[in-house]
Amino acid sequence: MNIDEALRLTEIMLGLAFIQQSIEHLHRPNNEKILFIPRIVLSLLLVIGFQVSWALIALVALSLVILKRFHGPYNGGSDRMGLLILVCLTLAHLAPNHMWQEIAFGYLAVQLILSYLISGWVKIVNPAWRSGRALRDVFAFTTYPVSENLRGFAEQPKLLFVMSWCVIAFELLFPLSLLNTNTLYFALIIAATFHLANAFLFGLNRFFWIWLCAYPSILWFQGNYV
Amino acid sequence: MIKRMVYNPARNEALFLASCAERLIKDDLEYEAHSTNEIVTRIEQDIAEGLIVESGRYLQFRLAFISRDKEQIVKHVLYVSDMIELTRGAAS
Repeated sequence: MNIDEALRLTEIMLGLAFIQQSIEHLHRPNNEKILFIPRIVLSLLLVIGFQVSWALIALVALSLVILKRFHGPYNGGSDRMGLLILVCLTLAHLAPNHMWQEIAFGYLAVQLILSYLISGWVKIVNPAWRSGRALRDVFAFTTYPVSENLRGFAEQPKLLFVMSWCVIAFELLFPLSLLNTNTLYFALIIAATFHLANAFLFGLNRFFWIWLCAYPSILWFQGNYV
Repeated sequence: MIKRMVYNPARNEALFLASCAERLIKDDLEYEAHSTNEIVTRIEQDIAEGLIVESGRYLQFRLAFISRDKEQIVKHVLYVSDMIELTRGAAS
């Protein structure tokens, strides 16, 4: 995948992810529509590839207004990742030459790698994660209707111990997947499945879609620099 | 479940309200008014939509947090709001 293809694919995926997020804000009769209807229109421009640079700049400006409206990200990590992808895409479009374009887009790939690596590190230094108790508490405390039906998992400490170490090992070893295109594809399928499970079990749907948007950058990065 | 992959506003709103709750117990005045307003606005909207049955003109909310103390799960009420007059959906 060359950088132009990867950038275009990221634009389309990010536009669709932003539309998905924005539609969720239209269900309440309050002042959020004034922010999210324009976001849908700008995201559509991104998807169809019309006036992309201007659409990206306008989306960055609108994102700052949305951050102020909610006194921070509305949806924590997924909004932060969305903003990171948006800023990297915008900088890649505004870059004065090919080298700076690659630096901007490569930065996104590095951040994606770090998102898994640091998550793994945070877990392995935490005794609750190493013992499997953190995952037990996730199932025990959840208020999400789907996972309430799975509360019985909290009584399966051995299973959750193994699951905890699988997650930790995968996240810590993720950077090694860049050594080969096939291992990277395999790792990304595992990672996407992990996000999909979180979306089904805990309702974290935005994380699934937005993390997928960063995958073209790492596929391009691996193909060109590893 | 498939539908919730692309449209799950209630869950994402609940996550945002959890962030507001965490900000409120930090006792940060900068965030207090904003977070209180976000929570109250949504309670009032739920009342207006009939999702919460109310019987008075005022509302008060509390924030309860659960945590683990060794093998016990304990619940602490860390914040109780002021009495707030309902501005919509109020009983007459």
